Parts: sequence; C-alpha cells; structure tokens
Amino acid sequence: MANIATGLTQHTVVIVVDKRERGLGMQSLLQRAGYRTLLALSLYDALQFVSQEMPHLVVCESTLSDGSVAALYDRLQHHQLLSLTPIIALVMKKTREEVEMVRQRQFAGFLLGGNNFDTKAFLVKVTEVVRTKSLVSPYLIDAVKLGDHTKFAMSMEATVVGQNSGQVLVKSAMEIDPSANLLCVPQDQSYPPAIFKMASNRPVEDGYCNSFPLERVVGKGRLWLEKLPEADMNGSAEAEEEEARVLYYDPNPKRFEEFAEVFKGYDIDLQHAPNIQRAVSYLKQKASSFQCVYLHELSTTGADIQWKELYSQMSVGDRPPSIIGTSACALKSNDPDVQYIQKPFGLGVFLDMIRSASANSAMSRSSVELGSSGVLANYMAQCSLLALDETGGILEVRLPLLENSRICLESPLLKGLWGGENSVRIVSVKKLEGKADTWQVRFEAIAPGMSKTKYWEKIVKGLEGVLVEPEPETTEEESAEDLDMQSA
Amino acid sequence: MGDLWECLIVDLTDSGLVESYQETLTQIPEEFSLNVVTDEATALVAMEAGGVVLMVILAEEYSPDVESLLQGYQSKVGCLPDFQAIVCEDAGPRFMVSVFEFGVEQFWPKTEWVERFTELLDRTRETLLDSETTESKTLKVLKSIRQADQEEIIAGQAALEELATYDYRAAMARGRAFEATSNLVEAEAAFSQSKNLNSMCRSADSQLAEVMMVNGKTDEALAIYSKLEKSNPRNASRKAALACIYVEKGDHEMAKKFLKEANALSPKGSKVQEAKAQYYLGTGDMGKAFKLLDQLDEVGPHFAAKLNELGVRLSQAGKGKSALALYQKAHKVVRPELRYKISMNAALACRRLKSYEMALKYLKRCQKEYGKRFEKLDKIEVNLKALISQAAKAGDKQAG
Repeated sequence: MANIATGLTQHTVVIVVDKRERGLGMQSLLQRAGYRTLLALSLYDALQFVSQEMPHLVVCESTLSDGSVAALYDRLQHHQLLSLTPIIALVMKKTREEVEMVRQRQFAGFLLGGNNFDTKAFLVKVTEVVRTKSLVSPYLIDAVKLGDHTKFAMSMEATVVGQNSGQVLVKSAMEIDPSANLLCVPQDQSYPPAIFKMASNRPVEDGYCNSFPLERVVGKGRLWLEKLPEADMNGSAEAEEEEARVLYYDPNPKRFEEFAEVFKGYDIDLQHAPNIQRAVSYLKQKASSFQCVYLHELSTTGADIQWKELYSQMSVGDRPPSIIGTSACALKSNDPDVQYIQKPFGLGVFLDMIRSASANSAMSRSSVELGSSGVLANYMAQCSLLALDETGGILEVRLPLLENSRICLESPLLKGLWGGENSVRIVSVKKLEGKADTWQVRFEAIAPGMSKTKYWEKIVKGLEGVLVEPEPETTEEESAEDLDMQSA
Repeated sequence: MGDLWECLIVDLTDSGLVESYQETLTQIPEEFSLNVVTDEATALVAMEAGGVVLMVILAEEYSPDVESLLQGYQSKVGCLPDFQAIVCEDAGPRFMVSVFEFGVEQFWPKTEWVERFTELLDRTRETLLDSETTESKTLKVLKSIRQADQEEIIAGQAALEELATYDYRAAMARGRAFEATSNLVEAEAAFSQSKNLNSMCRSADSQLAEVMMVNGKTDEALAIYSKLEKSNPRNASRKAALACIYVEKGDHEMAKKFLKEANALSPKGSKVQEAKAQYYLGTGDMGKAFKLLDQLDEVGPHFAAKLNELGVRLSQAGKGKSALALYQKAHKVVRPELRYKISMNAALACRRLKSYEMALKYLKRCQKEYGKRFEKLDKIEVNLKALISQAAKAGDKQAG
C-alpha cells in the first residue's frame, strides 16, 4: 500500500440516531473535527444515505425507531460493495440483549451511548476507526493492483496568446502554482515544447491568464515563444517605461539599505516602511503609485491584521500585488494578488517575482486584450496513480497543483472506465512530508449528481480482469529458508 | 557505468550539520559519490580532479572562500547554477547579490537542506542520464577544456550549436569552448548570445567583457563592467577587472583606485592578485609582476594574452632570455587549454635566439598540449628544420 498523506480526504460520517437532539451534538462535534456529516433518524434513512454517499464511517445507535444497528449491519453485509462500510455501534442501554447483538457482529467499534455518552472517547474512537479502516476510503483500490497502469501523463488545455513586458501569456482554465515547472506541449507539432517556470496568475474571463517570465523558459520552444506578438496594452504604454516602485516593509533598516542599493542597479525604487503601521498608511494614501509590495514578514497578530484587513477590502484593480516573505515551506494564498516567497531566497527569483507582479498589475490596470487566438497547447506532467476510490482517486505528482483546478489524465485504462472522459477535478493537495518536490492530490472523476454507488459499481466492473494480486513481499527469514532448501 | 558523479558538500560553518545527517547522506543514488570537505582549498582540488557535478556550500555569510568556490565551479565545472546551492539560516541582500554574480539562486534553509539535496540528486540524475541535455553537454565540454583536448572541445562547440540558440547555459559553455580554441570572435558572439538569452546572467556579462578586452574592445568592456558595478559594488573580481581595463587604457590612477577597493574586499583573491600583476606589468615594474606571477594559481584569458604579448615584445626587442623566463612562469599559471600558445611562443623565442633544438622541444610540447598538429605549428616546424639543416651545412662548410 502506498504511503498516502493524511488529510487528503474529507471523511464522511453518517450518524444514525433515534432522537435528533442526540445526533445534533455528535454532528457538531465531528464537524468541528473536520468531518462531513449526515444525520439519519431511521434505519430507512440510514440505508438511503449509505447507498448514496458511500460514507467512510457510520455511527449508529443500537436501537432505532424502525430497526437496530444489527439490522443495518446485516443489510449492508448483503451488499457486495457496501459491506466494507465500517460501523461504530452506540450501545444505549447496556442490556444483555444489546451487548449480545453487538458481540455477534464484527462492528468496527462500539461505545456506550445515551446517558453514558463520553464525547472525548467518542472522538478518539471515530479517529481511530477512520485511521485504521478508511484512511482514504474503505472502498479504496490500491494502485499496486493495477499493474502497469499507474504511470501516465496528466494534461491541461491552454492557449499561448502572446507576451507582455517579458512575460509569456497563456490562457487556461486553471491557476498554476508559482513553484511548478510545467511542460508546455503545443498541439501543432511544428512548435517545439518548452518548460515554463515561476507562474503568476490573473483571473480573466473564462479562466486565468498564466504569465511566465520568458527568460526562465527552458527548451527549444523558447524560439517560437520569443516571436510571439505583444499583447495590446489599452492606453498605458507609459507604464512600461516607468521605473518600478515597490513598497518595502522591513523592520530591519540595515537590510532595507542593502536591498535598496541592490535594487537601484535593477531600476527598482524601494519605498521603505519601517513598521507595518507605516505600510498601512502608504497603502491607504498612495496605493496606485506602487507596482508591487514586499513584506519581509507578516504575522497574524497586532497591527499586521490591520494590513490584511485593509488589503483584502481594496478592490483588485486598486491595490498593488504583494509578495510576503515567510519561513514556511510551500505556503499558498487564496488571493491571486498575494504570493509567498520562502526565506532564504535567491535574488533572481525575487526580482522575477517583483517584475511579474508589476507586469500583472500593469496589465490589470490597462485591461490587456488577450484575444482568443493563439497557439493551442497542453500543459503536461507525469503522475503516478496511488489509488482509486468511490469518487475518484489519489495521484502523486512532482509539481504542486491547485485545488479546484481541472486536469485530464492521459490513461487509456481510466478513460475506458470513465466512458471516454478523462477530465477530473482536484479536490485537495498535500505536500508529502520528507520530500521537497512531491505532492499528493485527491481528484474527483464522478459526474455531478451521479450516485456514488452506481459510479463505483461501474468502476469495479470495469476493473474485472485488470486487477492483479501483488506478490507478497519476501521477508529475510523466508529468503534464508529458500536458501536452506536449495542447499538441501 | 562510467565514473561516478561527485557531489561536493563544502561546510564552512563548523556547525556539525553535515555530520548529523551522515546516515541520510550516505544513502544517495548509486550514480553519485559524496565528498564532504570543510575548506575551500580541498574543494578546489576536488573540482580540479574533474568529477564534481553538484556543489552545496554551507555558509552563513558571503566570504572570499565562498567566492573562490563559486569561481572554481564556474571555471572548472561549468555555468550550471541549478547544480549549486547555499545552505544558510538567513541570506542578507549582499549575500544574495554576491552569489547571484555566478547565477546561483538556490538558498536552502537549514531545516530542509537534506530534503532539498535529495531532490536535487534525483533531478540531476534524471538530467545527466540523458546525454542530450544542456547540462550533460556543458559538463562534457568543460571537462574537455580542463583536459585541453582540442578535438573534443571542437566537437563540443558543434554539439552545443543548436542548444545555444535558446539556452543561455549552452551559449556560455560554447563561448568557453571557442575561447579555449582561441577563436575569440566566436567566443564573444557566444557570450553575447548567452547574455541576450538571459539578461540577468551576470556571468555571461562578465565573460563577454573579459573576451572583449582580449579582442581590444576596452570601452565596450568598461561599459559592461560599469553597469554590473551599479547593482553590486562589492565584487572584488569585477573591481580587479576594472583595474585591468584602466591599466589597458593607461589610466593608472583609476586602476590604482579599483585595485585598492578590490584589495580591501578580497586581499587574497586570485583575480585581485592577477590584476595586481597586470598593473605592475603595465607600469613596467617587472620585478614585482614576476614575483606575483609565482603566487598565482590560474589566470584568465585576458592576462594570458597579456603575458603572451609581453613575451613577444621582449623577444622582438632582443631580450629572448627574459621572454623565455616570462613564458616559463606564464606556462604555470595559464589555463591548461591555453598553454599550447605559451609553448608555441617559447619555440619562436628560441628560434630568434637561434636555439633551434630547444625550439623543436617547445614545439613538441605545444603539439602535446593542443592534442594534435595544426597549420601554424607545421609551418614553424618546417622552418625550424630548414634552419637546422642550414646551420648544419654552414657548420660543415666552416669545418671544411
């Protein structure tokens, strides 16, 4: 079984209770712990929910108005797929009958309910069962069983539309993570491919404009990218001529002086804000005079909150894009105008970020015409399938992807399973611990409104004859035995 | 599988950071070997040996040692910024700008450096297993330059031709290859191409300025260096180069000013020493210049050209013995790929001194250093043999 990052899946728990009040308490407790919950008030509802939602766990009181936890268990056992659903039984009365009912069935766990209900123990039990039975999903199919079908390319459609201020402009349906190195393969094979780096993104009609510094492009594709036409800047050609002005917040005056000296050589003028209050005041009074803001640090306390509030209240066209220094690894912002840079960083990366941000800001202000024509291409990258589950699966990738973006998986097997479709939605992304360049992403392939059970039945059926049982790993002792036998 | 790719980790911090990760570090892919050193001199020796591919420096601040390591990597391994990284807690602007002179942009925080190192190994392995990548070709051509293998260098120039149209690193390596075969016009074009492909590549600018100086374009070189000086006025090597330009222009006051500034930044820096020697040569203080020559390790193409030029002048002025003494010293300090020129000039000086047998010996050395015979060498040899034969006949006549 592959090592799958925790937290990729938001687990769904169906709570089945006889009285709504009891269920509401459990629901709120589990929601606070990050679970998605559904409340069923009868066996009938519970069976409906389970077959629709294929939950990762069911918590069910022993006695219900129209049945019992035992009945729920028995009914699910008769279902080929749903029999894997783990159930925690809440014993309400602790009578001999109830205890026997629980004992005779293989529940994932049981707890005392009713007046003896202990919230702490409940949460511990739920976490434990989810971890052992459904870390990703109880229905998970390990990709090891898919044999040679686990490595393939993923792609995203894009149109290379032009260039502006040394940036290659690409229209696509997704934001590109700034730290991603992305292969861009034109659909017309007479255009060679290129690797794009250091993306910045700007929302435009029908998606995003991804910009990449031309000088960072690697590969033969650079030859045609250099010849791309300049995008139309509506009436602000002078913006390109201006010396870039950056609002620079740093409490360390020496560091500011040193940066100012360096940046002067690159025609970038820094306006120093020695404290965050001063930065706030500059932003209030002269926001339009800055092409970009750099905050050497920003905490979540005190005056720093003032900055965040002011910045988030300003409309996108009125505020300069900002770059925030951080010591955290791979920090991402939901605001397209805010980028993080991990300290310590290289000068070239920093300069390129400032230039990209300034160029984007200028483009936003002058509403650059991107047009719809351009070179049709695909962003491509290799990925490994780690597992399939009831709505999609888990991939391992060497570039960070952004949640809610759509990608296409170029796997004939998956395309076959999905009836010719191969577009999936990224639901969650986690960086793999201990690896600087590996991410795991959970995707959803299920069509909107489709029943999970129906989807999963189709997948399981489609995989018949494809799945292979992995060979058991040979332990050292076994190897030694083999050797003994050979010598005998 | 051939030779292992050497990863050089240079710990200049005494922090014990490398020791604490010893176990993890030994589990590197089988294609690599690990060499951990704690001083700049040992690191330079390792680079000289020719197997180094990656270099990671642990240093808290910029120092002449860091500069020397980055300089060493650039001249001995190649312009491959992605194969170099600095591990430090916090890099100040001066540290950032100084290493950026060599294109280096990877700064790794101490808490993540082993992870990043492992990732870099994987990436490097992937890149180098493909012999068609810029990195593979750059390493190959730089290795041939170190080995002064002229045929391989010429093959490298051709192999990099297409890559150099879109990859600044390939254009840089190609410039170095042209420089090594004394094709300085093409070298200038290649460095210029590199600079155009990546306007932020300071190394391309510096190399271009240096080769322009050799090509006699002193003012253009001065303009490039002056622009670079604006964004980082604390680079000892550049100040030394500026001093050399002013020596060339005959402005000894300005030369002295820049030398003083360079000396203050890095008194033992090789480029600073080289500039001092050049200053003494320019001001006619041969004694001091010769003394400094003995202390130099390796000099750039401009100084090498200056030494050749001075030797020729001495020889033409009838000071053949002084010229030979100069060539002897120069031969020890110029880059291996440029030594054949010194040997050829030494042969010509001997010819002028009528020491024909000695001249033939120098020619033989020249051929060995170049890796094969070439037109000019053939002509000199024919001429020398004719002179020897004439001398023999004249001797016979006298004896008769």
